[in-house]
Amino acid sequence: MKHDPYSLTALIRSDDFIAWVLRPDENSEHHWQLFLKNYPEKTKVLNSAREYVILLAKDTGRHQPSIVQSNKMWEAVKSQMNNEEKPTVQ
Amino acid sequence: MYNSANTSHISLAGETDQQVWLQLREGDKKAFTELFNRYHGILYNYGKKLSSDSSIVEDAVQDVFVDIWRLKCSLAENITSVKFYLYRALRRRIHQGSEKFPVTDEISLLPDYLIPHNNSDSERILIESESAFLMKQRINELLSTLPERQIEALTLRYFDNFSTAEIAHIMNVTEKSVRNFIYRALTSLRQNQQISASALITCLLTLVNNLF
Repeated sequence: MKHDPYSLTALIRSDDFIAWVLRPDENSEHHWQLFLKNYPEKTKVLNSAREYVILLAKDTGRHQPSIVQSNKMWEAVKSQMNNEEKPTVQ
Repeated sequence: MYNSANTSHISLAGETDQQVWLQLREGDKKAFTELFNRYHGILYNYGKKLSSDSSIVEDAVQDVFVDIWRLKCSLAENITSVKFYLYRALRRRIHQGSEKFPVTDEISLLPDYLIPHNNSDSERILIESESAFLMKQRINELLSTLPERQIEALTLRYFDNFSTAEIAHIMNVTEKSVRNFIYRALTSLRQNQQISASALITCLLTLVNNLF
């Protein structure tokens, strides 16, 4: 089995690659654009891996609370804060 | 990314977590509100991977913040990552309630040599020319069938942007286990496909047998 650090599954698990897809900066942008220029045959793999990383990020982040839930949690926290302070305030 | 239900205090928006943390320790309510706004949504999202019961997760998120406010003076001044601290606290909260996982639970681990850097087999699964729609469907299916700890690792890795080392600390397992969880989760994509293929063959064979 040949070791290819730029295979699809290797890319999906690569810290550098994930960082570039999800939080690109100048450095990573430069690095991967250069890579694509040197290895244009990897374009398709890179695009697919990118797609997977984005899908994984989206799907694992789909359980955000509703506004109603957020307010409920905040109110509960706030009431506990006030309870605690009653003896000291006034 | 997080739900901004309480956006009345935007003056701290540009501050780093560390700055907010320090102000909070001094008893600054604005800082506390800011921390809640920044993190309650993604903490809830993470909590939902540990318990499917929304009210348990809501309670746990609340408790984490209530504890922080109550203990603010005794909180460590220099913590390397506020986010990391919050995730650890939430996980402890949720698991304390259910006692579902012993701390040292590291079942069914693959030895490292079985985790290839590049498994040419698994290339077949993630077919490169696959349509975006199919990919989406596949990921969706995958995430509804995986064991809880694999989903937890995937969430911390891809959505919450933690490093392997941080995930290991949060989950109380070794880094090797974390790589393992993620590797297994990704190869499940292939297994799902194989299962459907073999199910189809079984089906056909049964049909053929019944005919003759």
